Formats: sequence, C-alpha cells, structure tokens
Amino acid sequence: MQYRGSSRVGKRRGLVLATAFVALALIADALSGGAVRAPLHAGAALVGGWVRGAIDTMEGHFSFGRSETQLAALAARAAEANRLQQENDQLRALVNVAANSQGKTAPVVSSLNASPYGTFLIGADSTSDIQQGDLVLTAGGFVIGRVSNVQGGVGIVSEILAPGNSSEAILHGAAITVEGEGGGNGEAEVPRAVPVAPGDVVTVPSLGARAIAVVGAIASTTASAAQTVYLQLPIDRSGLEYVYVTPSHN
Amino acid sequence: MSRLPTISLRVAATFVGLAGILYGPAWLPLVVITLLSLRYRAWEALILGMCMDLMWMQSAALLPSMPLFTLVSLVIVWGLEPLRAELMLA
Repeated sequence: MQYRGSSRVGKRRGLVLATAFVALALIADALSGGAVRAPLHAGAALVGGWVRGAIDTMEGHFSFGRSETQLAALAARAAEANRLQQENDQLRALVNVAANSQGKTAPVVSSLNASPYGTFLIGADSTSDIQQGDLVLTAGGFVIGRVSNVQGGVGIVSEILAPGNSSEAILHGAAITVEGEGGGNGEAEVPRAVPVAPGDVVTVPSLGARAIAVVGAIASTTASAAQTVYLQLPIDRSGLEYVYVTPSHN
Repeated sequence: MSRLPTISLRVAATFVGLAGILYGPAWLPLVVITLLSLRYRAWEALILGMCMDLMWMQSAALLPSMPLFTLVSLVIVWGLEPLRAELMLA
C-alpha cells in the first residue's frame, strides 16, 4: 500500500512541476512583453509555410490516378501557377488600397479560424516597419483588425469582430455598438426607424471612417423598438493570403 | 503491459492537439486535453493549454485577456485527478 501511495505521489509530482512550469512561463511572457511566445509564433509561421508548400506539391502529384512522371510534373507546375495567379490577384487588389493610404503588404502566416480569441498572425519582418496599433485592411479596404504585438518577425492581429470586442460604429447615420462574435461576424442593435438592408456598410469613425463589415441579415419584431442586425466581414477567411497594414493615423 | 503503446498514444494525441492549435477549431485541443486527462496524469495537457494561449492571446499581459485555455486545462487535469486515483488508471 505504501509503495503504491509513494508511486502515486511521485507521478503527481510530474503534474505539480508541469503546473509550476506553465505558471512561470506565462508570468515570464507577461513580464517580458511576449518574449516567450515569439519563438512559438516564428515556429508556427515556419510550419505554415511548409504545409502550404506540401499542399501545393500534393495537389500536383495526386491530381491524377497514376504517377506518370511527366504528367505529375506538369500538374505540379499547373498547381503552382494557380497559386501564383491567386497571389497575384490578391496583391493586385491590394494596390487599390495602397493608393489611398500608406502602408505595407503583409502575408498571413496562420489560420484565421484556429484562434478562440479572434486573432491571427502576419509576417512582420524588420523591413516592414509594422508596429503595434497599425490597422490591418483587406483588399476591399475593410478593417480586419489591429496589430496588437510584433515580435520575432511575426505580428499578431486582433480582429475588430473578435468575441467580446465592442466597437462604436455608424450605419446609415445612426450610431450603433457592434458586438464581435468571432469568425468575422458581429451584431448590433439598430433603431427600427433606420432603414437597413443587406449589404449596407458599417463604418467606424475612430478608424478613419473605414468600413469594418456589411449587413448580412436583419431580425426585427413589431414589439421591439430596435432591430438586430447581423454583420459579417466580406472576405474568404480560408483563402486570405495577404493583408495591407497601415498606420492608424492614416 | 508495455509502456510503448501508452507513450505512443500520448505522443500522437499531443501532436493532434498541436495541429489543432495551429489549424483546427478551438474545441479540438480541448477535446485532446480532456481525453488525455481522463486516461493519464498528462502533463502535456497543461502544455497544450499553455501553447494555445501563448499562440493566440491578444497581448502579452495577463490582463485584459486571461489565459483561458491554460486555466481550463488546469481545471480539467487537476479536477480529474480524484477520478484517476479512484480508478487507479494512472
């Protein structure tokens, strides 16, 4: 019995040490301003690049039933050409945004859907001059979020429509409060007297009157003085590869 | 019973959790943490929770964003300790 008890204490000691390690790591990260998480972000960006390259290669080699060398090589080149075309299209669209405000294009180096906090990572090397507080825009000029931290060549972007985030916005001249729900979605209460239709654009004065979302759906009842407006950021979250980063004072 | 399948299972589950942190929905690492904690005194479950927060939390400061996944993994791992001890699974 004593042997089993001491064995259990010994195994529990591992959990105690792990708990202490986790607590110390989080405290060290907070006190150092993100120095602990910087290698994690850099590693994630690296893995993201490998995964993207592997997917491109596999699309070329496994798009045909048989692995005939010449066909597989041509398919791989076609897949890479498609990827480059998509990149070109996204970058060309960002030229329009760049014409209206100074800033830099940055690659998205993480998934937009994996974070429970409404954040994602962008590449921010030393030459990009991306700083904390900069606004992150889509090709359509919509504000996705703000850069909340930059370290180790990677910037973390906090989405405007992240869960729990509130933004004071304007819709058809009416002041509303947009509550973020994550996944590029949000909702707001708008007085019923305000004419709202799907596709209407919501802007935020504090972000230079830039748009943050469009109206997706509207729910109202005659018993209520307000209508609930469901908002969405009009982007393909799974296919977003580049964003435009501009200083917030622009 | 050989320890190799146990270690392999925990390593595989940890990798699934890490992949979920990077690319999967938020509930995937949570499911991995729970399953690991049900069966083992899995210190790696605490590491997964910490990695989830370090990876995606908005700012480096503990406030205003709290490390929710770390706290949840602590509750799950330590909360299931009496059950593991009673069932003598680990």
